[in-house]
Amino acid sequence: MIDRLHPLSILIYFLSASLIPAFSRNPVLHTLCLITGFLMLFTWADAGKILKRVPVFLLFFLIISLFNPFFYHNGNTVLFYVAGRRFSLEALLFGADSALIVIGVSVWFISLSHYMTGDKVLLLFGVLSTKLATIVSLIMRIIPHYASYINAYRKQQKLMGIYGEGTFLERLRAEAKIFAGFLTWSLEHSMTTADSMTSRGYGVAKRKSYRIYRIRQIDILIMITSVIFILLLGLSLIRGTFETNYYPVIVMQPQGREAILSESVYIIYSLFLTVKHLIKVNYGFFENKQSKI
Amino acid sequence: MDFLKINNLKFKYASYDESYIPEGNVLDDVSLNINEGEIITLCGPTGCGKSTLLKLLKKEIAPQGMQSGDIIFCGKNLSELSPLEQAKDIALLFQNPEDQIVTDKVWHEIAFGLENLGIKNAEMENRIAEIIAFFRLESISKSDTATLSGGQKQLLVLASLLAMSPKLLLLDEPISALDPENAESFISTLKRLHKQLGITIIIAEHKVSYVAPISDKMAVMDKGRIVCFDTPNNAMNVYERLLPPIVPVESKMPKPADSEPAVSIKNAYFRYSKKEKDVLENLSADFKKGTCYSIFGCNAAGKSTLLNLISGLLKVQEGKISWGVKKPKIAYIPQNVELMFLSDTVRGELINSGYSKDNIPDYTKDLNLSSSPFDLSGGEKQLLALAKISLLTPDILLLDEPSKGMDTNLERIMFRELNRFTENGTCTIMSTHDLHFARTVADMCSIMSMGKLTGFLDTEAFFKSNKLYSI
Repeated sequence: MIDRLHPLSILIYFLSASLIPAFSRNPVLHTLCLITGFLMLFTWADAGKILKRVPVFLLFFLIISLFNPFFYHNGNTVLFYVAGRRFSLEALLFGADSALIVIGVSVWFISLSHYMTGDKVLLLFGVLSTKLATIVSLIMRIIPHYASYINAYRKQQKLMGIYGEGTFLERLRAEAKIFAGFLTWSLEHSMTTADSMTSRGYGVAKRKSYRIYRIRQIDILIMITSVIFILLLGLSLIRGTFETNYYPVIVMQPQGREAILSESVYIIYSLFLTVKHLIKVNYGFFENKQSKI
Repeated sequence: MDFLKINNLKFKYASYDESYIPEGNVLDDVSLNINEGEIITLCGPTGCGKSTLLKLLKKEIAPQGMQSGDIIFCGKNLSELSPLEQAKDIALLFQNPEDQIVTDKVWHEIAFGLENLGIKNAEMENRIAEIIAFFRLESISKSDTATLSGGQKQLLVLASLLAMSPKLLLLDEPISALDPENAESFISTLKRLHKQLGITIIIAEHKVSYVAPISDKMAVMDKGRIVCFDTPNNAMNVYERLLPPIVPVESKMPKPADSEPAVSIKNAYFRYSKKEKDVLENLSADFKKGTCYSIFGCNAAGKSTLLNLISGLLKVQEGKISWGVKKPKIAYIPQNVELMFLSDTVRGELINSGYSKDNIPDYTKDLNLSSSPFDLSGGEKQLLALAKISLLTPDILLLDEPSKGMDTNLERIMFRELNRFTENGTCTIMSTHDLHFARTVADMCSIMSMGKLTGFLDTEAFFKSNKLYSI
């Protein structure tokens, strides 16, 4: 289950699955990214909801794919002419590849935003700095509190006839008055918050973040494979064996012995992204069996 | 050895405001001996110094000023305690739970103090689990603090203080901002807590009737002095004598039965969003001029929503609300009175609402005019809000929990002022939990439940016919 993973491994896993392939120009990798991205959606969303989104993705795919050949006219295989300009197969495929990246990454990010809940994000900040985590937590608390207050405050002041009607300048002046009132209120109240923090020992000792998530073996495994994958991909990118040339004719790199590297990247990538699903499916199956007993 | 010993404590605020120099000592020769495991209530009229005394016991947030005398805590002078000991051993809870909550998640709020002390993760986990179990917060442990109700918030603040396992718990008007239901549950938690941990608790509170039953001793304060430190029974007698004599409320004028309606509601429906349930469900009622109405009902029964609808802040979705005159003057004092304040001084607020400098209402004369309106006590804020709308001579006056945070003295002023409004033909509609207050001031009463109002009854008849809503 992905939501049971440690936030750090969730983050690394998702980033290596989506963002890193986006840096390369390799249609095979991008297709794999898109397919696994959709598989990932199935781990948490209803099939119905996912299918509902498919037409939107298709539309995006078409728009992005067609966008490119209308503006770039390189490529040897001319399909037809639009207003005297070439519309080439290479440019179309280049567009399609870009579309794959955009959609693949967005599909992965939909799942990421589902799995990365607020407190998980907070923990990640805590890993960086305890102080930063406290500040983020304070802000997350203050925003809804202030928003609801200022909303109620404006309504009340409107009711008391302070603002609402009049010329633009009058309304602006009233708005400024309201804002000043809100500032006074927030300053007064943050004094109590500060007192509450001090009286609960803020700053008396070296602060420690309380961690409700713990790293398990599976987290370590996922992080290590992610790192290996990132390194492998990085290596292929540096050596340039991974790129596909679109213009003037499409040349799929690599050829010969260099291909072994990129093929192994494909295999590791897809294994890495799907093994998790297999675990999940099996686990779910097992769980169902147990609960029936 | 005494647990907490206060010897001849005197205190005077440092004045930072030229125009308002506090006269004399806020605390004058206060001496108290408190044994371990006792519950002590501090009471006294507003401004008697009880809050100052509590704050002086917590060095980190003690007010600035001149202090003499000793405070001995567990055999050590309070000033000798290290910041770490202070934070760990002495916990202070303030009046308004909203401002004390620091973080966005319930579990994190409980962890906050422990994180500050730098406790190991495993120990933190243990303490948090214990506290969550004791305070029965399991179901909300992962919720956002913003989604909690006022009562839950105050319990959470108490819980997060106790996670640090303090030796002394100071509570500064812990239930003033709560309605009776939540106040009861707060007090019963406090009782359970005391039984379990035997912790020493000092409560400053003017809702004495709630805290007296659980107290071992009561200290009555007046003008910075302790006038009595005795068992609750004896101290209550002294406290009663301190309050101004009860002025018999003038018998209310008989209301003309056929006075014109100020507001009438017909078959009104309202809900906040499509998915939610109806808050108002086929509600019909007539409110007449020159009459004071009181609406009871439990939390979330829809009383505040009804007031918002009458004020025009919200609109009914089906049915109709019609007002007696075309453009009625409506004044609304919301539950959170601070929403009405615009200036940074009390004087500014009054002048803003149309008073001249020398012509302010008599009941506001005792307030510190140059202080910020936010520094007033809960009851004083209500009075200031009332003063702000007085000059409007509204057709309809809407009040949401007008007696909140008021001591007996302020309540009496409020009675008088509301009666004056009613006599001038204002239709007053208030929602309240305070039965005593309503009985004195209201002409008609009703209960809101399941989206409807029960038929309005004459106040006396209402309290006679109801078994649960009675005094």
